[in-house]
Amino acid sequence: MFAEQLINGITLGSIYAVVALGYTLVFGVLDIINMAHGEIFMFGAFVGMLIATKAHAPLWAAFLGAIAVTGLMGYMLERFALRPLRGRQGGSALAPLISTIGVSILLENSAHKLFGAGNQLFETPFAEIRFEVGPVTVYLVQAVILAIAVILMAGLSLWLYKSKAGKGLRATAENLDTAGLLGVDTTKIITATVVIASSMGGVAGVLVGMAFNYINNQMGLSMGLKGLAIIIFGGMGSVAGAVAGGAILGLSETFVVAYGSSGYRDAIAFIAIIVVLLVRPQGLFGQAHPETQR
Amino acid sequence: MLVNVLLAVSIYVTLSTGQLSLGNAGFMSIGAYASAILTTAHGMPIPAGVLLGSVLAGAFGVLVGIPALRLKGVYLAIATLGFGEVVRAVFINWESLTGGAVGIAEIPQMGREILAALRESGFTPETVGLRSNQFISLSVFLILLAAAVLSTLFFLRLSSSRAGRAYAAIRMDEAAAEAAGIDATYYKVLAFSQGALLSGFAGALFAHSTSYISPADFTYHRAVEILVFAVFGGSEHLFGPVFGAMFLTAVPEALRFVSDYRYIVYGIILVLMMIFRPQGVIDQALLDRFARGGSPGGS
Amino acid sequence: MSLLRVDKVGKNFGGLAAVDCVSFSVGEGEILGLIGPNGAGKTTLFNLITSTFAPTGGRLLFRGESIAGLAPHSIVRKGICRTFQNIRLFPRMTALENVMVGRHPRSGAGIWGGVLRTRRQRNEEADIREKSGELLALMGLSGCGDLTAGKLPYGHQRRLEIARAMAAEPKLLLLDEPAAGMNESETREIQSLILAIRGMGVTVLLIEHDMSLVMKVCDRLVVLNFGRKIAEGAPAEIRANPEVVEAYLGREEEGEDGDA
Repeated sequence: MFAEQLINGITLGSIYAVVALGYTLVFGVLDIINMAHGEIFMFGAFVGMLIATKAHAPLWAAFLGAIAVTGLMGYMLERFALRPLRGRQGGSALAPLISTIGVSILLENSAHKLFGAGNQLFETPFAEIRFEVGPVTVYLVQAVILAIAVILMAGLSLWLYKSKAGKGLRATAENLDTAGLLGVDTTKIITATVVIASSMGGVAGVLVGMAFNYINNQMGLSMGLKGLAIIIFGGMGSVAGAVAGGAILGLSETFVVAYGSSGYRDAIAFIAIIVVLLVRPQGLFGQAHPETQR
Repeated sequence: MLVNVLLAVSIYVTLSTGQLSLGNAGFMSIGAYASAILTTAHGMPIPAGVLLGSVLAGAFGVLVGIPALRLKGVYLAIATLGFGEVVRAVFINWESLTGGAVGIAEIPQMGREILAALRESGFTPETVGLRSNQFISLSVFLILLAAAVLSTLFFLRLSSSRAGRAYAAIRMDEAAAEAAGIDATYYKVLAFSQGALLSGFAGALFAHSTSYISPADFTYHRAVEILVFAVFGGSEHLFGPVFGAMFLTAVPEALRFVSDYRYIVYGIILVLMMIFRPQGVIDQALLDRFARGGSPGGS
Repeated sequence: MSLLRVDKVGKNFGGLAAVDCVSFSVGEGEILGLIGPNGAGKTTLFNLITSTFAPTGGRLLFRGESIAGLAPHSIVRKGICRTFQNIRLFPRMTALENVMVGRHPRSGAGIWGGVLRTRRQRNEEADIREKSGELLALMGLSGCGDLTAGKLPYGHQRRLEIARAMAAEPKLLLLDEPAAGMNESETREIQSLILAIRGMGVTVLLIEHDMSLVMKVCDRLVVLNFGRKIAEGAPAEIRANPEVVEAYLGREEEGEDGDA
């Protein structure tokens, strides 16, 4: 029982971590909280559902489709909702927040119009395949989710720290203006960041569909706020923090449901946001840099 | 609906000290639930319920406002958004008190109560040429109108007084305001709890005009809706959010087509405003052009 | 009795001493100049006196009473006001409103007064308006009351900031480079303003790089270098102090003090 809950928690946590990575990438480079990330994630889930369940195509096609669509959405988001706000004199730090809130509500309600309101079934061909490892039951889906999440996280870290583009991105994250002066094409880097972050959201959407077998147009909001909670908890812009925060939230939610009240499951994340912001605003893994935010 | 005007004023008040709160939907729900529970389960008269509901929301405003002082900008916005969601989770789960996800029905309705009271004293709406339901809607409308006008006047006057100047100074430059002898802590918490109290008031009136509330009335959508009023109308002057609320409430009611796509339109408005007119439709320059001779602060 | 006593005050930023064991007194009615090269810790000292941050060591006594650790607005109430090196007005208010904000600690109307417009509130508001108008006139800004502060010319903004500080009726006024960026005639105006302010019974602590202004208006000077006090005395003594000349005047020669 305990071991199964542990596995459930880790599976959930790995999905959360992938969502949180999307936030943390964008925040790290742009200092922007992308409130539309949750809704992009939700679109990823729907695209995956259309391909895998409605068209009975293989799962890899669902992932590719989700990546393509959400990547495109990320591009549109950057091009039309973020880029026009950049470099404007006297622009408020709140402007991108408000603009992405706008995109989030736009996407959520478009999904409502496109896909309807209720839950939609997300079927995977191997939903019922499971193994008995001693007394513990493990579903194949869980193993696949965990594997994909780990590959994504490892791949992202490798890319960030080893590749030339990743280094340019990190330089941009250090200081946008300096990187620009040093000849880094910051617009390109920013666009790439938002596109990559969004397609990671898309992948996470498909993973959630696989894990829960149903999706709806509201899931973007709750997942978005959880992703936000995780990066606030783990530290804004910190990759390690996103992974650790995702795992912690996944585990604590699973155990609260298993051993406590299921009703407050979704509240854990928000309580965590509030407590962490008040006690340790830089997050568990973030560096303290006081008075940077106005 | 005029409740929206109250909500728009509430986000403006907190914003007038530079604090963006997305938790006003949460405060609204506290006022609504408190008043609904007090009047249904405890038989209190509506005015007492509304009063207590508003005060309770205001008290929560103080409780949230004090720790919120440590947060700035984006972080404050997110923490207050989180607060709103926590409140909603509590209302969904505290079923014995709140009816859970189903909500509370048969809340005494202001108009009906007034009619009942008048009937006892021998008055019938027919004497003024109205049917009962017309009379009910009319009296609700008048009460809400009075509430909206009064609170707008309240904060209009406040903004051209010593406290209002302190708010504006803090919003423009908090350190300079402190250096000018303004207790920024006091005024920020004050503004935050005034916003909370007004949201609670709006919530309580909302409960007594619809006579049914559920957690679904106080979601992220509500928080964003309140934000849209301020962003669209403009937050430099109180008239901005008030205009935003009236315009954005009236248009969907007039045009069915818009009403179906209301939130999609809201989303587009937020993005477009940030790009083309971040200060909102109504800014100081526009007001000055309209009101030569009636400059703010003229007493 | 001295009005302000700075007693062995220090401030470290991450192990770096921005102000290091500095002591001096400001006498009532005095104009004391605080000079020193850039980064000497002058503005940091202002920030300590106005409690923008707390000192790491030492005592700050204002009229014999410790003021360290008070909130910045309480310091203003006690009677210490300041201006900023980089002007910090409320840019979207009018000039008059800026000064009226400065009147805040010397008035008392609360929310209800403001909303109900009680007789007392109206009288107070009229008084605030009148006093603020007088101060604008004193600073030579009579015609500017209804103009947006952020759009005033630079020199006007400097004087408006002084007017705002004066509105709180300080005993001690801290001026942080009031003549920075001003031409010769504007500097002369500032000079007579400072003297006029002293004439109103206000003690002045002045940070200024313009040596001719400092030498003309100050009764005494305190010289800081690398966070330490290196000299104190009458302008003539300071000018003749070899250590000061080496640390400061020797490098930032103004031309007319030709003893380097």
